[in-house]
Amino acid sequence: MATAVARAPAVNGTKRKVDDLNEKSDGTALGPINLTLSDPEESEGTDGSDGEEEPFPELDLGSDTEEDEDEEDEDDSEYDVEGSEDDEDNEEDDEDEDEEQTPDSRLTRLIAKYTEKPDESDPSELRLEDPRAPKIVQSNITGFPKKVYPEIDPVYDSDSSTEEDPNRIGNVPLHWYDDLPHIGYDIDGKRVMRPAKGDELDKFLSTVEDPTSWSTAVDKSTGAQVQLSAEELELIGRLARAENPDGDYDPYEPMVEWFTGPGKEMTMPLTSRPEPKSRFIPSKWEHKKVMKIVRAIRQGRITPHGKMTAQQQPQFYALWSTNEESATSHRPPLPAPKVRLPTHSESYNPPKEYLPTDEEKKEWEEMDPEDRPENYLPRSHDTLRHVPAYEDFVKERFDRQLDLYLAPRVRRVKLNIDPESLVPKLPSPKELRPFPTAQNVVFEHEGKARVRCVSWSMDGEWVATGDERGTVRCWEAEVGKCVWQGSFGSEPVGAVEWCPKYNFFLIAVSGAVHLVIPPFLPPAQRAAGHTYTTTAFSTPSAPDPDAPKWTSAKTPLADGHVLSISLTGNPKQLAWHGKGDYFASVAPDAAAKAVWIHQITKHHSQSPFRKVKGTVQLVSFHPKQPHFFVATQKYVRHYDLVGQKLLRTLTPGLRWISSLSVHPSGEHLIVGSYDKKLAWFDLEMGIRPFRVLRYHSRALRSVAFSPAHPLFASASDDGTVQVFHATVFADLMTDPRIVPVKVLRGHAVTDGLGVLGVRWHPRLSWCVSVGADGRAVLWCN
Amino acid sequence: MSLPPPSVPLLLSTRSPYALPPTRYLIPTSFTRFQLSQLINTSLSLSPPVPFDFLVRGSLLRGSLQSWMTAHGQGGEETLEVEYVQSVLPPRREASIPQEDWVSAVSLSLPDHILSGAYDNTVRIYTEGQELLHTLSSHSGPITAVTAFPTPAQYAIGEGNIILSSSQDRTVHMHHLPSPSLLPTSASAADAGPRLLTTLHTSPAQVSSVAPSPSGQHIVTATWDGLLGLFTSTLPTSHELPADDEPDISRKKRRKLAPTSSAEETEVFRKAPTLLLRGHTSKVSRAIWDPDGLSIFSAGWDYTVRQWDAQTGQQGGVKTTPDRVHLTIGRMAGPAPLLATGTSDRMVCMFDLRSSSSSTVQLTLPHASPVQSLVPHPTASHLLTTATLQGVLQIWDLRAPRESLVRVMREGGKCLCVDWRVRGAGLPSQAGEGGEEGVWVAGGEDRQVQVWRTVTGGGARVERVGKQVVDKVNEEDAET
Repeated sequence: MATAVARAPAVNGTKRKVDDLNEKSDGTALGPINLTLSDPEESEGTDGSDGEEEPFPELDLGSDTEEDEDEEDEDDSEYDVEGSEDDEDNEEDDEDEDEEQTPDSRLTRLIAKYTEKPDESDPSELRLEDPRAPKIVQSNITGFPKKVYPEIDPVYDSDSSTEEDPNRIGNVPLHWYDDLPHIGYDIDGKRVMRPAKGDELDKFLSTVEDPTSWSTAVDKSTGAQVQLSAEELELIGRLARAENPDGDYDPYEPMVEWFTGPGKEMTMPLTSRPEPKSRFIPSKWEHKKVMKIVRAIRQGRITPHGKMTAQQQPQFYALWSTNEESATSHRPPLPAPKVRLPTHSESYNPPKEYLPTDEEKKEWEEMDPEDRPENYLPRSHDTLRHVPAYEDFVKERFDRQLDLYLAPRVRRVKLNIDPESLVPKLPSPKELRPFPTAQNVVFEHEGKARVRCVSWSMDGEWVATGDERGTVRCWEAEVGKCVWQGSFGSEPVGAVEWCPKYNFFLIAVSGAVHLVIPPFLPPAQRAAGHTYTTTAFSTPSAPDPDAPKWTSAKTPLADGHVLSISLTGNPKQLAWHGKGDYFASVAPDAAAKAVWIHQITKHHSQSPFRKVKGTVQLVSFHPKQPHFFVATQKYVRHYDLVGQKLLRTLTPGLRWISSLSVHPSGEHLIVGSYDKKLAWFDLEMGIRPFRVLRYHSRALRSVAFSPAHPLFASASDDGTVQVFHATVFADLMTDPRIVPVKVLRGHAVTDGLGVLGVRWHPRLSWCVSVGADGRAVLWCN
Repeated sequence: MSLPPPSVPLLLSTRSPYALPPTRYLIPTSFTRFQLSQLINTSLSLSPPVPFDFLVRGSLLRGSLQSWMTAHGQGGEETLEVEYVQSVLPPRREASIPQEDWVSAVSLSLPDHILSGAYDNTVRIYTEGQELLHTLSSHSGPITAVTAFPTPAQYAIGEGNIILSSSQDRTVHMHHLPSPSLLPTSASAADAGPRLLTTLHTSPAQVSSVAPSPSGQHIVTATWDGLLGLFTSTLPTSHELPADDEPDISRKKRRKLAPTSSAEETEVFRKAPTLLLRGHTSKVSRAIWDPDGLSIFSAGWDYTVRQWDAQTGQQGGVKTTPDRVHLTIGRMAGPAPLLATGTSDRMVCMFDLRSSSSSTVQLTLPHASPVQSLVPHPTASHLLTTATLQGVLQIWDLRAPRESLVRVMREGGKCLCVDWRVRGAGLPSQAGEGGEEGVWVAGGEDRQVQVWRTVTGGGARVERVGKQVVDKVNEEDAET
């Protein structure tokens, strides 16, 4: 505060030290000053720090005029150090006072001090001695007095309005002159004598007697008491009260009411226009702006709460990362096409065959540069050192740059699709057990005759096979022991089918179907079968000349041969109805009479079709309904036997149907063909196959559904039997699930023929396959 | 300097009479079975040497100790407890008895004799010297099983043995074979020969097996239509059930085939079962008796193994193994009711009937083809022999279930039946006393009954069968 107060006199441009004022006014009744400066010791203690750290004068200067600033600038240097100087000064004064000097010396000093009292109390008088003031001299020419101004030395600060101080000792501490009678020198080098200064008693007296003594201050440069004017006192008082130092400032000016108040009321609106619509609808631009922010928030560019964390995270990026997508939002630059690698002929020493002959060289040189296959001629150099500079270097670079600049480039993005994901999810075969996996028993036919057909007995204990030499064998399936064999001519056996109800089987050979009750069976079973098949002999029906004849085997071809049915043509297939009474025979070469349906209990045969379109290959009974499937070379016809009508014609899209099997539910059908395909029909779905599978490398010979397990197998000329797990769901919306589970290899391919037939065990997940290699193989799980 | 070879501490113990002092031995890990066997022989100074096998933690030592430790992740610090057992030399093929047709059944249940049944409907009885004694041709279908037991005293037809044969002609024939010692030397062939006592009729289906109870009081048969017939072994005095009505053809044929026998024989009564055990839903492969005579075990094609109470005919327990067709069954020797079945999916499955869960297979022995026949060792509870359709005969030790002890490949194709016998097996008190031989017979597609001798080394009793054939012979040469 002391410095702040000390600055105040600068307004007037006089250098007065208010500290001295303090000294003087100690204990006096100067209200305002006393209030603020009541404890000078304390304030002195804080002066050293406060005076510099609290630049109040600068704040104050802001409100000053420019003139004042100029003066202030000049004075700053003095005042900055003044505070501390004063302190020292005071202390020294105290010391001086404390120090007991000799009374004589002190007396002489005092006398010296007060003998001369300069009349400098009035500052206006001081100005008269301004060195820049003109001197009045007699003109030599005119003789009149004239004003002669002193020469101005044009040096820095030569023009100083502050050079008014009579004391010209410069900026030196005044206490240097304490022991001297003068306090400095004036501009002419004469001593400025110390003004007279009374002792404490005089001070006291003056405070008592002189009513204005409280308003005096010591001018340090002159050491004289200066009477402060009323304006200065008022200014000091305002500063002490922390008021605006400007006396004219009125903080409580009356408000001028320009727009309100009586007589200024607005009675009418500014315009009579109705409010525009835009005032009532949300702003489009605001909406856009908000949406921009919303988008930014959504994209994560603005993170309301994540700012701090974003700053905390280290800001770096993978400089050499090849992952272009992650780094920036904009499209990465297209990579330049790679430069072709040099070839042998570009070597500095290519092999001889690359070097052109003279004719080739000539031809190359005569060619148009555009037409040349290469833009260089292979040349041979002994060492790399002899290779000259490449003359086309600049041109090539230039062309390359042109290419990069002009040629449009396309970025090829590789589809990053895992091929595994495109494969449908199928259960593992391990979960779909049981299915046949291994070759358990092999039934070896003598002579390696091709085994054409195979059939399981109804109880699954026996297997009957027929070969191409007209021999039919029965095998005990468990151990593979041949228990019966019979020869039915030398023609190939077309089919062997075991009756699903009684233990006997049918054999289709050329021109006949034979019925055999095998003798190895228990007598009870044989008796039942015998009764079943031969009772109709006792009630002969009316002979039909066209119909096949049923004759008892008077001279049995083999042990157990019971009866024969004569047929025209060469029957290739037999198909039992599930109840064991009816069976159908197919002789493809018998034209219109290809298909016959025979009834065992009545020894009756009938031909269901008057005319057949195409060659009938196969037939099959529906397992549950009185339906009948007839497969020609390319189509499968579905007949209703009761209604005697064609229900639908299935078009598998195969060239030549070889085999057919109906699912035990009767709702699905598989068709194998000689063109290596297998077609699965869902009879509910229409006439097109639900799925066509092609997995065999050769023609399919036989397909079969397992009666007891969700399995089917297909036998092919490639020597394999492939087993599929085919789940048929009761839910009509779910497609059948077909899973390949096993490829059974074991049959040898002989003369281009592989596996000729496959059949399933009626109860177990076993199947037996017969092949052209003269073997039948039982595959077990 | 060279390091000493790495070694492992062994604690050798045995249950055989060749015991070593129970000390810890520090054995180099490079030692194999042969060297360990030599070690025991030299320390006991056995002469002639006895080959031993070594069981380390329940598995047979096949290679060196080091390889065993590597395979089991064992360091050389721990003490290995090793049990050594007297190993048995590989069987020596003794003879082949030719037959007319495939051999479907062999049995050694008649002491000092070999019984065989074949697909030519005959049962043949041989002495152990492969001399044909008798031919029983009363059956009209292939024989499925043949067995024998001593004639019960109540028959009052003299001492001898009863021979039971089951056949696909749905009957079991019971013949009496008099003891040779009782026969007068001048007796005619007809008197000396076996006499058909009775025929057992279970059901109209083929009979797959027949087995007498240990006491000889009961007989159990198994049929292809899922029935078990329980018969008492008393002789019927009249026809207990009517004759089958057969079609003309077969009757004619039979009359043609065997006109003399039917005329000559006194009338043979048909015998009906006292109890029919119903439970199997498909063909029963085989039914066997528990040694205590109280239970019957059966296995079938309906994937089940069943236990029956022989007194009441009640079904005791069922073990179901999905999709596994059981082709044969055997009960392991010993007190534990451990059953072994041969299956069509090329396994031997072990069942413990005491375990509560219904389908627990305790152990499986992998084979290469269906196990058609399986016979446990009469006394040793951990040995069994199997015959597979590939013609491989094997002897398994349950303690080393990964690989068989002995593997013999028959040349002639499928092997359908096997049986083995150890002399004195019926007398457990003599166990451990040596000097006996084992017999091992098998028959099959090659129309031969092949006989092997399990030769013992050093006069010790045949107890265990050792290692693979070839290396065993070599080592034996080296030891002797």
